[in-house]
Amino acid sequence: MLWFVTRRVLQSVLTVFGVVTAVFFLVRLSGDPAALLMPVEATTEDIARLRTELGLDQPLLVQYLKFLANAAHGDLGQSLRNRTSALGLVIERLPATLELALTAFVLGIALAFAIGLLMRLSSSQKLRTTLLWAAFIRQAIPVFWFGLLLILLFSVTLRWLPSLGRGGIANLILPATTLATYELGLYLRLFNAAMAEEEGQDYVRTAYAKGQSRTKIVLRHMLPNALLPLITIAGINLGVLLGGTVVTETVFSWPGAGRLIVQSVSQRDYPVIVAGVLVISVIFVFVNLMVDLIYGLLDPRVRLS
Amino acid sequence: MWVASFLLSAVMLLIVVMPLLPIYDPYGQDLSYGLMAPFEHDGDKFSILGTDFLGRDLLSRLALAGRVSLIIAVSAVFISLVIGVALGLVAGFFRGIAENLIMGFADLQLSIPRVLLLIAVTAVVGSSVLNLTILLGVTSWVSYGRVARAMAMSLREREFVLSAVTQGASPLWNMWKHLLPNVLPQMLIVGSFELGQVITLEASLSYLGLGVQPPLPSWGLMISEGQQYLAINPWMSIFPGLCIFMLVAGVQFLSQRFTKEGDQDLKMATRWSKKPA
Repeated sequence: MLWFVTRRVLQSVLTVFGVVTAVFFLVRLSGDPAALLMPVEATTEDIARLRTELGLDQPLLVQYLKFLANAAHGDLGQSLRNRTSALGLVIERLPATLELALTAFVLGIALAFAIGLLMRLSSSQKLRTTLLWAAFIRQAIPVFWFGLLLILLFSVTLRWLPSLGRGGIANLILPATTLATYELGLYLRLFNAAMAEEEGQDYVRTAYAKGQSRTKIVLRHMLPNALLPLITIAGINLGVLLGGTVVTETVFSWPGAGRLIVQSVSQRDYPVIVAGVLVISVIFVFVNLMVDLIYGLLDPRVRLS
Repeated sequence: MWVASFLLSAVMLLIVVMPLLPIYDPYGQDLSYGLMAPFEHDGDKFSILGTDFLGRDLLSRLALAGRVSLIIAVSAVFISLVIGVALGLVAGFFRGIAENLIMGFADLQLSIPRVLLLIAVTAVVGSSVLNLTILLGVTSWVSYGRVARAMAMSLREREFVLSAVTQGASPLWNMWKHLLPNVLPQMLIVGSFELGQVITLEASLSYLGLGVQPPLPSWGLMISEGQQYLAINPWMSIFPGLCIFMLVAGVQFLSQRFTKEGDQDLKMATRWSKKPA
């Protein structure tokens, strides 16, 4: 187990290092940052002065090492717009993003759990088919359009819920629902497949032979086994969810890190984009590490592979 | 199957046949006829699906946008297929360092959420149709690469490949003549699965304002243009979304059908393609 943990932690550190490197070269090789940072009317001397100031006249390797050293100290440069720490700006917005992502994560699992169980327990084949179809259809709808339809129905037509901004619970309902259903179709199909697989197992037949009720067999015996794959996939998809927040935050004007990144792109605020991408990637890598470690704890086969 | 046929023919009708009919110019602005509802008569002007905020005809724009979206998506899928097959075959055939490098790179790429990666690169290189196509292509090779590698790993041990090797065939010749024809059908199935995802990604980026730039229409961009007028004329956002849905659902149905007929390995490969190993 110790070897497994060490290997996975090292792997994650290496990945984060790779992401930092990739982002650095992406930004450096794409053009002269100094020219991008200055207003259009800046003279050649102005740009040259800025280049020296930013250390851009030094060899690329030196710049890279400096970037790494600064990044290790949590310094990713200053926002070009309001001259404050880029990393600080991103971190300031992070609680909003995490609030949205975690609510959606829990809501998504709860929904998949409830609907999947309903599908298993009901004897109606029609209901099952309808729900699977609905899951399939949801997967084909782009997340931002789904959010827009929710706004149209609940904010514009019915006037029940606010359509934008962050505030109380009411503000959270629509964005969280939008994001929660993002991967619901996938969860539901996986959960259904896992349950169907348990259905044919010997222990289920034994339970029937003992005369146990269907409800009890599903809840007591099949559910714990079918839950593991669902939770794993949900954990892995927490990263996909983080990507989904970028779009969802824009739809609902949710003041999170994703929206900050999108706004920074249109304002050409590179340090903030870099900081945002790095922070979200680090969270993503960390979540994947946690999911793997937990899974390794639960299933010994994973540790040895 | 008929559901897929129905959805896809409806979209094809819109994209291919509609521009041949005498419909309005997709760029033609007329502010006095702005934000018309579907089937609305305004004096002598009649618009089947209504107009947008600049008075441009929605039907004409949907048809043009569909062409733009589909051309971008199909080209991107082609690019990623070529890259993925090439890297996957090299990794699976040579093994060793090449495999570790290529698969390590794949894992690295998967450790940044795809939308975020695309946003970061777009921010640097700027957004144009060409950039968008190349970026979408370059960032979605991993699924093809994984399947191609897995298949190459088993193919290289087969007799016909081994006998070619003993007869002195170069690795390149082997990959081209023996591996490629064997992996290509599977790659097309992966491609049909990826197509839906790429269409959605393109729409998302264009919605965020980082993809197709106005005045050129794209379904994602049209949805975002319509969002401001949601209370006055929601059709501006509803129709393009419906188009994306029909196309993606149709493609998904088709690819599911293909996958069912393909083998089990492939089903696993496409199902798990989203997550890092």
